[in-house]
This record gives sequence, C-alpha cells and structure tokens, in this order.
Amino acid sequence: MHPPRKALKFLRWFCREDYLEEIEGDLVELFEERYNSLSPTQANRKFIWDVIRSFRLRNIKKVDLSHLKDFMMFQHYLKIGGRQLINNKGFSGISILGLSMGIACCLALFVFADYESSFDSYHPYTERSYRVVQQTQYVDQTLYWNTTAYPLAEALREDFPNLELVTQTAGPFNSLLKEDKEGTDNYSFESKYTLYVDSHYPKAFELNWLSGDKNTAFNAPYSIVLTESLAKKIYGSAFSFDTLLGKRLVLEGKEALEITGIIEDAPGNSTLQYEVLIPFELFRLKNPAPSSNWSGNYGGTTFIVTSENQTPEEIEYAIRIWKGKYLSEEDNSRIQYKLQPLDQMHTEARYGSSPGSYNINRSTLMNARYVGICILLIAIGNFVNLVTARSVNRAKEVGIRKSIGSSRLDLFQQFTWENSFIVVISIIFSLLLSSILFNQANQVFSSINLELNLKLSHIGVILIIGFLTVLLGTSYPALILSRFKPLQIINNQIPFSKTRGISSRKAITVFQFMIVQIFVIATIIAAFQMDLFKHKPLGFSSERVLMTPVPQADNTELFKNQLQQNSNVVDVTIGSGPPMAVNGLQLGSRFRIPEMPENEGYETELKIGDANYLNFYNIELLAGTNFTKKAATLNEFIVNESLIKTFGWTPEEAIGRKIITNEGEATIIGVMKDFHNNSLQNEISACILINWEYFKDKAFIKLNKVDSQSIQDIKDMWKKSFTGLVFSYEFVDDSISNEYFVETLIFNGFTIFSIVAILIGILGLVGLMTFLTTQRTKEVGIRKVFGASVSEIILFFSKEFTVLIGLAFLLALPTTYYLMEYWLENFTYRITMTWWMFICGGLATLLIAAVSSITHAVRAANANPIVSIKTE
Amino acid sequence: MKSHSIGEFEELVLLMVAALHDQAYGVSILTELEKESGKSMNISAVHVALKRMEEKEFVTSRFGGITGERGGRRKKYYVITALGKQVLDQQFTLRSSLYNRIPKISFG
Repeated sequence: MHPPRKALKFLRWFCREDYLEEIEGDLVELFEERYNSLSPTQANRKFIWDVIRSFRLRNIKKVDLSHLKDFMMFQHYLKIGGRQLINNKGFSGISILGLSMGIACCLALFVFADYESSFDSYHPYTERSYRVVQQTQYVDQTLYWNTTAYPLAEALREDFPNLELVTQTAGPFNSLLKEDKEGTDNYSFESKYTLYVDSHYPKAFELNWLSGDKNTAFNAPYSIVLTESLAKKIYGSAFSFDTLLGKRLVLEGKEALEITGIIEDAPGNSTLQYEVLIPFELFRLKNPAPSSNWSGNYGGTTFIVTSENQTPEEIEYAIRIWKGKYLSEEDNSRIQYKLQPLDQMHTEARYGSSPGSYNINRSTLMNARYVGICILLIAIGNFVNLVTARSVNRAKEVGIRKSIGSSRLDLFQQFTWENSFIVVISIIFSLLLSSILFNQANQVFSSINLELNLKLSHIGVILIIGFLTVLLGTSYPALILSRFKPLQIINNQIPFSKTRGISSRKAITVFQFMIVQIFVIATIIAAFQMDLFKHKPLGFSSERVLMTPVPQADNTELFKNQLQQNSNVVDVTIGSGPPMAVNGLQLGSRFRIPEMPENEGYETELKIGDANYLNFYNIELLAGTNFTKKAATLNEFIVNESLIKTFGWTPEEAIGRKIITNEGEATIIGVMKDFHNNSLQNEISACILINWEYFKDKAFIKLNKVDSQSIQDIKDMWKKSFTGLVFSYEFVDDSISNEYFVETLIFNGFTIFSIVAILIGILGLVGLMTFLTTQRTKEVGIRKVFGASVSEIILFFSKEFTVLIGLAFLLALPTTYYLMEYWLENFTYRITMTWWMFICGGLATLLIAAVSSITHAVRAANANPIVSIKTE
Repeated sequence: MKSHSIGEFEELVLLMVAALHDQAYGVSILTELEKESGKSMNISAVHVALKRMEEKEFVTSRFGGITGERGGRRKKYYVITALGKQVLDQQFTLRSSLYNRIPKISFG
C-alpha cells in the first residue's frame, strides 16, 4: 500500500516546505482510508486528483530570487546611470545629441538604400521574373535597350510553352482622357503614364484591385483600368469604386473605353509607372504596323516568368538560337536578347530608365551604406572620447567600489550598462529624428514618389546599429574605468597620467577627423563638379526658353503667328527637342557615305528643327549655310563637328558631300560647332539637324520675362490653336538640370552628411579639449606662475589638436583622392582635382575645430593659478 | 489591521474547527464537513481555507506527535482564536437578525 510515486514526487517537488508535511500527511491518510474502504485503483486516482488540486499558487514553493542578484544590480546601475545623466546635463546632452545624429543618419541611409533596392521586388513571381532587354552590337559601340520589338512577346509565348508566363506592355505614354458625356468637352484629364498591358500582366504583377476582376479586366480591347487617384480626380471621391465600373471614358478623343477596374496607385518603388492601364489589344488595333514590326523598337517591354526548373542562362541560350526565325539577317547578327531579373531593373543603370522612373546604381547604394557606417563610426568615436574623458570624475567611485569588493567584471558590467542606457536613449531620439528626416525627404522628392518609412522590417537594422554602437562605444570606456587601481586613487593619483604621446583617445580623434575630412574634401570636389554641370557652356543658349508640345501639326502655324504678335515673346522655333536631349527623348539613326556598303555605318542623333532653330539657340555655323529650302523635305543636312570627324573632313570639305541615313540621302549644307547634345555624363555625339516635316512636335518660345502672366498668355494662345487638349510646358533649363537628378541627389546627400559629420566631430573635439584642460589644470597653473602668458597657453593647447587634425588630414588625402577619382570617372566632362581643393578642406576643418575648442583653452589659460595649483 | 472578512466556505471550515475542538486537522475537518453537508469536497479546498484563516489570525495551528499512521507524518491541528470566535459571533448575529426580519405571513 503505497500512494502513486510519481504524484507524490510531484507534490514534494512543488509544495513549499512548511506546508508539505501537513498536506502530504492529509493526502496519504485519505489515500489509506480510501484504499481500504473503496478500491486501490480509485484510491490511486483520487490521490492523483488531490495532488493536482493542491497544485495552487499558495502551495507552490517560493521561487528563490537570490540568484537574480544580477537583476538587482542592473536596477542599481540604472539608477546610478540615471543620476549621472541628470547631474551632468551638458555632457549627457552632447553624448546623446552626437550619438543620435549619427544613428539617425546611418539609419536614414540604410532605409534609403533598402527602399531603392526594394524596387519591383513585391510581385508574385519576383525571383523567377525577368525583363527581356536588348543589346545591339555595332562596330563602334553597343546600345542597351530596356525595350524590345512588340511581336517578341507573342512569339516567345508560342515557341516556348515551358515558360510560366510571358507578358508585354507598351508605354507608358502620355494620353488624354475625357468623360463620355454630352457637353463635357472641356473636362479632359491628362494621364502622364498610360500603360498598355496584355491580359497576362495582372498574373505576373501585383496590382491590388479595389474593384473589378483581375482575370477579365483586360479581355475586351475597349477597356480601361484606372488608378485610385485618377479615378478620384475624374469622378470625385463621392463615388464608391464599384459604381464606376461600366462608365465610359474617351481616349484621345477617339475610342470610348469601358471602365473594368480600379486599382491602387503604382507604388513609388515600381519601375513601371502607370496611372491608367489599357489592354494591349487596343494598342495593337491602333498601331498595326509597329506592333508587328520586328526591327523597330518603339517602347514595348517584354517580361517572362520562368517555370521552376528553368535557369535564365538556359533560356537566354535558347532565345539566341531561336531569334533568327523572326529577325532579319542583319538584325540577328547585331541583336542579343538578355534576361534582366525584375528586381534589378532599378539598379542596373546601363539599360536606362523608363518614363516616370529613374535608375540608381547598386554601387551607389552600397556607397550610401558605407557613408552611413562612417558617420556612425564618427559618432561612436565621439561617444567613446566623451565617456573616457569624463571617467576621471568617476575614479573615486571606482576606487570605493573596488575597496568594498566590486570585481573588475562587476565594474565593467556597471559601465557597460550605464553607457548602453545612453545608447538606448539615443536610439529613441534617432528614431524621432529619422522620421522627421524621412518626412522632409519624401516631400522634397515627391517628383520621384520617394516613400521612405520606418517599417517593422527595419527593426533588424536598428538592432544591428544599436548592437554595434553598444559593442564599440561602451566596451572600451568600461574597460578603462574598471582598470583603475584603488590604491592609486586613494593616493590621489589621477589615472590617465599619460597625456602626451599616443593614446587610444588620440587615435580615435585622428580617425574621426580623417573621416570628417574625407567628407569635407569630397563635398568640395563634388561641388565643383556640380558647378560644372550647371555652368559649363553647353554651346547653345537656353535661358528663359519655354517648351510646349504642338500636338496638331495643322495648327502649328496659327500658334506661331499668335506668339509672334505677343510683345513678351522674343523668338519662336519648332523642332523635336532642345539641343541637349532631355527626358530621355532622342531620335536615333545611322549614317554612311555612299561609298560604304549598306550594312556599315555609324550611330547618329537626329534633331529636327526649322530654319530658325540655329539662330534661336545661338548655335554657331563653322561653314556652309542654314536651311535654304522652304519646303520641309529631306534634302539638306546640317551636321555637327563630331560627325565630320568620323571621316576626317574639315568643315569646308564637308560642305556639299552626300550622306545617307535611314531616312534618306541628302547633302551637307552646313557644319555646326559642337554643342552638348547629350548631358555632361556623356560625350558629344554625332548629330544631324534636319528641317523635316515629321517630329516637329514641340514649340520653343523665348520669353522676355518669366512670370505667371506670360505663361497664362501662352496658355490662352495655345488653347485657341489646339482645341480639346491639355496645355503643358516646361523650361528647357529645368529639363536640363533634371538630367543631373541622381548626381544632385548624391551631392545634396553628401553635403548634409558632411555637415553632420563635422558637427559630430566638433562635439568629440570639445569633449577632448575638456578632458585635456581639466587634466592639465595644475600644469597650466605652474606654467603661469613661471611666467607663461595667456596666449602662449592657448597656443600650447591648440598645438594638441592641430597635430591631430594634421595627421588625420595626411591620412584622408590618399583615400579621398582615390574615392573621388573613382566617382569622377563616371563623367566624360569632369573637373580635375587640384591640390588646393584638398588644402581648403583641411583648413576648413582646422578652422572649425579651432573656433569650437578655443573657448576651453581660453578658459583654462585664464584660470587663476592659485586655484589651479590647489586642485586635488 | 487585517481584514475581518470571511468567505462562506471559510466560515464552514471555521465552524468545524471550533466544533472539533482540539481534534481539528485537514482530514477530520473534511470528513466531518462531508458528513454534515452530504456533499463531496476536495481536501485542498480545506487546506486553502485553513491557511487563509491562519493568515487572518482566525485560527492557530500546532503539529501533533508522530504516529504510525500517515506514513509517520505529523498531523497539523487547528484551534480557533478569540478573533475567530468573534467573527463567528458577528456572522451569527448578522444572520439571525436578518432571519428574524422575515415576515411570518409569507410562508403561512
């Protein structure tokens, strides 16, 4: 007769000792009684039940908390740390400010890089999706296209049944939508990004349907899918989206389209931007010739999704063999189709960007991360310096703690916790700071739909940054502090007697200022390069030139006549685009001389302009004449210097020669002086100016003065000439500076971050100076007693950091030179770095450092020697 | 100042402690209560009530001597305190005064 052992064991395990005997005794007595009166099984069962019922909070052993000493010590450290923070507000403020600025910058750059790498990565088959891109090989160069011929998609779908999906788009194009109602002629809405997509598109790309069915929305050619914001613009927000289905919109005043769906707006991190989606079928119906032409490349994009077991190389290879079936022999030898992973469309810049989007190189993003880490390192260095500098004041505490039994490990823990506490506060501040920063950035860059946000997924980055900061920023000071010897302190020997020679604090300062100077010098050099972009003579003048489309060729003359009567208009010309290609618009062609075989030739740009074009833009003629024939036929070419260099002609020799282009044969009647027909990242290329009847779709208007009234006047005239359309304009100068968007972004970022770096560096320097001056109070006193003047002592202190900054400068020189040389190599037209740019950077840093730290030196020098000698 | 409140089950146990004077321990209280009320109860409920009342100082306890029963474990005997008795009296007064207010007519 024995109660169940396991239950008894359990009871003994959990039950508190002062209750155990009573409870166990009672349970056993009951068991014994039941064993006799009932049955052994029932007794067993009831005993177990009694044990379970006795398992109550009241009866459970009190948890032994003595091993949680660490937790109690942690509370203690927190309390001491908090008091230290409050008692030294200045020091805490500087540490927290510096650290949170550093962390915020680092975080911002990582979030930015993260955002830029997130482009097009949210689609259902991202890892298996590819954009088919095209490389066209010529003798002298390779051209990279992100667009391909329209029939490619259908051919791929038929001949490669193994591919999971093939889908294609056309555009995005600018187009005009009108409500299909009587008398609503003026209610036109412009859609900047009208994208034609086939019915496979919603399967491969995430669209977020608010209304309508994604499987059928693109089935009928005369359908249209609106984005949320455009739908609200047209119909107001009073309508529920479902009621909009079935309504009609008229595209370009021609086709009536039925609304079959409403989707969310294209996210900012989408390479393909769209405001409206229209079935590709309609594009095919409207443009039968281009959509069946294998040799033309008219803004169509082909995407494929491979099935699980296919590799992209395999498919690329298969396509290389297969494409000859459709391409002409010449095209087949030149054109290579490559597969570009969907999530690399944004970061592989050589294929160019599609309208409404932009490219940023992966290496630029990597560099942004490096800059972030550098700034974080400066901030950590600064923090370490401040903490160690202040540690002298804690020496006594350390001495006492050690005397009453703290081990080194205990003290190490104490100071690590204390500093981690500051780090945590700084991280909280930096989160606030960075969200403010993101707000600002998102507003400034609303044109590219920048959407920087702190997301839950960034917790990882924040944790890593925090961990790094704690690791680097707290372990060293804690190590130093815990090393103090109590005997020394009691003898009033302040540790850190070493103020000369190399110390780790000085090494940290040198490192900090090396990075600071790299930033400063780089900013100066970048500023000169930006200045070159902005102010380099381009070979033409485009001041106060307004550019507006002339969509109806028949009415262009009417518009021109009206303009010429306006007193504010200085001059007008009609053409295909300004001298420098902007907004990614450039007409390309090939040219050769009649002696050359047909399949040879060189790339050239075609520019269309009327007889006034050269005058209007002040482009100089080196030889020959302007267009003479009034008739806009293709018989006169004006070429640029770069083109005639291909054949080694002098301008005079070139006049009268015949050249053949894809568009036809004509005589060179004039030679233009080279002007920058490409933005300054690239070289001037061959260019032919033609007074052609086609592509004269833009008017350039030079204004006397630019104000809202003059733009209103032009709008009125435009409205009178072109009916039922939406007026839009841009200034050529603005469009040109937009070509340097990414460079400007990088430059502005760099300027901001070097300012931050300097600020943090200064905070660190101030900390160091405080340390130096307090350390040497006695020395200064003695020097003064022996007759040193105030200025001599200031000099004595200045010598310290001058040497440090000088050393940092020497270290920064080669690094900066190498880095900036690498950056400048991107540009054909670049500045050369000169020695004074570097010297300027160094001097600027020195000056700022001197100004900020001199007050401490002055204070130390002015102190009364009697007081300072009495110190201790 | 400890609270003088007492729960219903606690009151029953306290009454039983008082009734079993000097012979009140877990099992005896349980069996007597089961016998009187005709309902089955769990020993741990009795334990909890006893411990609570001990904290409230309604009862005191002592260990008995070691016997052959219960595998040699001592019994813990409970005795009611003056405070416990006072609480019982109060409860009794309250109940009977309320009971007396029941009008006689209702259940004629």
